[in-house]
Amino acid sequence: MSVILRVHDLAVSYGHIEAVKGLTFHLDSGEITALVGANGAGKSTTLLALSGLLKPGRGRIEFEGEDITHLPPHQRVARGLVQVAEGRAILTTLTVAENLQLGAYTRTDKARISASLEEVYHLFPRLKDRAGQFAGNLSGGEQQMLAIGRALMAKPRLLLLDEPSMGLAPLMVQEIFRTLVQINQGGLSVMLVEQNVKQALKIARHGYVIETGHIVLTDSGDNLLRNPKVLEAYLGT
Amino acid sequence: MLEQQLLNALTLGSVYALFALGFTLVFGVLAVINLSHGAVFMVGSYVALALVTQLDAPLWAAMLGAALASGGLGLLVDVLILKPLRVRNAPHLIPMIATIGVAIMVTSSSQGLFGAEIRRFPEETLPAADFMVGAVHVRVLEIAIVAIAFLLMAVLFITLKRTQLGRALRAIAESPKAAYLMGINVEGLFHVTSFVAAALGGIAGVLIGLDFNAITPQMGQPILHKGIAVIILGGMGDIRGALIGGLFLGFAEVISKAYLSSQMGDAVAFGLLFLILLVRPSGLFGRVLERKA
Repeated sequence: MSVILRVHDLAVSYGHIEAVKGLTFHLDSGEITALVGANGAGKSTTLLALSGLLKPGRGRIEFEGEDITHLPPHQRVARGLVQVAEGRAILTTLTVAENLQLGAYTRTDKARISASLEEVYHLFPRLKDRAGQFAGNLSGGEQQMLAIGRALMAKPRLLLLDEPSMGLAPLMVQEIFRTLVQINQGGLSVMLVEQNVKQALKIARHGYVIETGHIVLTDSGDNLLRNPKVLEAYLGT
Repeated sequence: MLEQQLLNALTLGSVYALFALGFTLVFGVLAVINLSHGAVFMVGSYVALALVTQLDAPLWAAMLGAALASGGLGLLVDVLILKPLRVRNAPHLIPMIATIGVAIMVTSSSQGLFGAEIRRFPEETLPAADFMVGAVHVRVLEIAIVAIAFLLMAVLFITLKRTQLGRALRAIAESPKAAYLMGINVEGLFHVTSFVAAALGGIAGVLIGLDFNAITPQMGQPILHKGIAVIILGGMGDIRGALIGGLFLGFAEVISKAYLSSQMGDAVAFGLLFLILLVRPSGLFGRVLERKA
């Protein structure tokens, strides 16, 4: 199986505080991989470093065999490394349609963009109904759909998701996760960062558990769900 | 009489609006109050004057040259001063103070280079044509000033509203982080914005220079104050607000000079502004601006 992203000894600091302390992991191409852990464990920091919004203090990030450690954020998106940020960073003052159009900002195959837009509308019919509305008027679940739909417009090779379940009702979480499985079955590699450990490990082929900036466990998603340490620490049993 | 004053007010107001447009654009996109905008405006009118008097350039070419020179100066300020401050995450007050420094440097250098006295475009280089509409004496120059200002504002408005570049700029205005994650070259567009805003300021400088036919190194200061007032009145960062605010200030100033006191035009205009802000503290089109990290 080929590896789409390989991270070696990644460390990220905020001032003097090291939040991520030398992570080494990899993501298999075409799979869903979960990075789970408690609030403050360093999950979002890791994702921001992968997207280039935070500069790592040391370490190396390889995407599809190429070193991207020092690439600016917009060039990573152009290569297909696309993040759906925490808190659904949608643009509330733009319409739903404008958000989606902007998602395709780095694309050079302009002729194919309207086809992608149709695919996103097919995946999330509610977005089509609300195309002309300001994104700020959407419900939380719809905003998460828009955030994912917008990321898909960039034609990602690897989709990074930061807490897609955050602040959503359980039914909506189910729906979002079902959609992620569906997207993945279409061949897209997915990295899922979650505090909702159970849901995330259920759909992930492989998982990493992160605690205070270190990876402390790694196994298949199924095995982690049965692992006594995981059960005790995250699933409350 | 009133009609004549209304024409004067429209001319002055549209230049104020054009000046405020660049000012508000920089605030909206870069979240910086760039106080060198008045100096950039002044540089525009001197460059146009130099092109006309030294190189016998036609007015349109002088205006283009002024736009490029002012735009270049704006770009330089962004690259040399604002960018290093961004990289260091400087608090908002710092870039504002730094641009005051730029304004002082540019103004005093111009004074050294060109002298403090008032300079004028030679009469024969200005379009002299005029005509009467009823009792109103209309100069072709005024028509041209209003037309140029409105044309530029319309182009900018449509660009922001309808193009991918415009959507990207609005994305940055709301959340630079989200813009980065969408693959937008945020730094690159900061440079573009600084250039365009300064170029618009430079053109406004040429238009004012032509309207009053008086150019001095100090001319950037009063318009800077007016520009600040206009964008606060219109709503910080709002393009429509800059237009409406600019026209309002132009009308308030001209009408109060004509009918109340020729000395106290500014006092009346700014007093009115103050009253409006008491009623609408966020400005005419302002919303409570909140920036995501």
